[in-house]
Amino acid sequence: MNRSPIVIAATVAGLALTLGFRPHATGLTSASTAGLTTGKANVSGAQTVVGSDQALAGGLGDIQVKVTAANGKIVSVGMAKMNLHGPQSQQISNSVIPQLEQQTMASNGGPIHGVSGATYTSKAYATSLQAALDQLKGGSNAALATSHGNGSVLQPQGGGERD
Amino acid sequence: MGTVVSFSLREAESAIDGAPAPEPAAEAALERAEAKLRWVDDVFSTYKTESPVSRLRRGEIELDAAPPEVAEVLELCRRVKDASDGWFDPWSMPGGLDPTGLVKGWAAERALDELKKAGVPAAMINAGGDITAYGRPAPGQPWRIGIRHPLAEDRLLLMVELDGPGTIATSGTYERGEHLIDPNTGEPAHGLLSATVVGIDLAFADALATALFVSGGKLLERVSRLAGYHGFTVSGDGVVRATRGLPVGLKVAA
Repeated sequence: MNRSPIVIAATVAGLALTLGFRPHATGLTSASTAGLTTGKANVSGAQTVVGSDQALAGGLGDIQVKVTAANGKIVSVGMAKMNLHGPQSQQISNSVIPQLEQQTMASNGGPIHGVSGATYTSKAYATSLQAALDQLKGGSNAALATSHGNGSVLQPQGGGERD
Repeated sequence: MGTVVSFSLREAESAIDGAPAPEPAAEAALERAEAKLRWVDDVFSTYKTESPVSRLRRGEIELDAAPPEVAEVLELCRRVKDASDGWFDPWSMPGGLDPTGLVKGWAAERALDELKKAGVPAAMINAGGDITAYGRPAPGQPWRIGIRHPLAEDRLLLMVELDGPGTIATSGTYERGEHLIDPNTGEPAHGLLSATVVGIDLAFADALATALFVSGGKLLERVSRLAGYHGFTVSGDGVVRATRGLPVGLKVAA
């Protein structure tokens, strides 16, 4: 299989490498900031950790919660202080990177290192928050690798998958 | 369609003057991790017609003619099938045997193994939205992982911090449509916006997240009894339900 060359850009916090290992990595070149916005979110107020059959107060826009896990075990839960922008949930249509930087800097003083979500396609990756993290200048995240097109096992459970 | 795997490596510090370790070591480790992913793809892909798993699906070969890792993965599948009360069942997929729901997470763990073996002090791999990590991104700092809002690609719903090794897998239909099959009906599952499992091993977490999703959340109680695993679901009405230890009933902006 063909592969594109490894591109290395050292950063302060870590290594930044772009690993393209798809014969036709069409998605990668546009994996920057196209169409991506960062939303604001609201904190609904103080909360406590509750059991599995209780409900917390519902609320006002997005509620963001911080969960701390060690060795797979949840050790603490608390509000993530990411939502310092204002009371209303609102879209911002500026370039994603400054927005994400703003958001990550506001997140309890620490950066976001990764974003988990349903498996994105190579194309959808381009506008994902993870892609934005991977592109953060001076960020500590970096290497991205695309699987090749057809035939990847890097897909969700595929019995009924329709591409 | 493929997906994208993101790597985040932390450099070792030189014992002499605190300078970063040479880049080539990390580069070589990444190459081995990449090679491992490609190998897994070649063996397990159900889209490559000549992959061992494809040939196994067609009955052209027996399990013992495939690389031993296939049997290893199928054993893990069997264990997750049991642990998920059958909600994860690669043997009940419409197209025949399909371990794909576990293989992506397993592949990421194998790639991470390559980084560990190479001495990379800390690393995180994000395989298309499923994350496994070890070490710490900076001294005393946890890995901070955002969970994507299922209705908005540019928003985070929750934050999960992994202090040391840990994994997070999320399943949903918002990226690829209704591809997640209920093994009981053979039909696409719907009813939830997303399901996330936090735990120790990404092969298990990946498969459990799929199972949790297709169960419509009914598996949540079962997940709560699995040592080392936690989960939460986001339902169509915007309610987050979680295993004990996670907050529940959060209202999500719809």
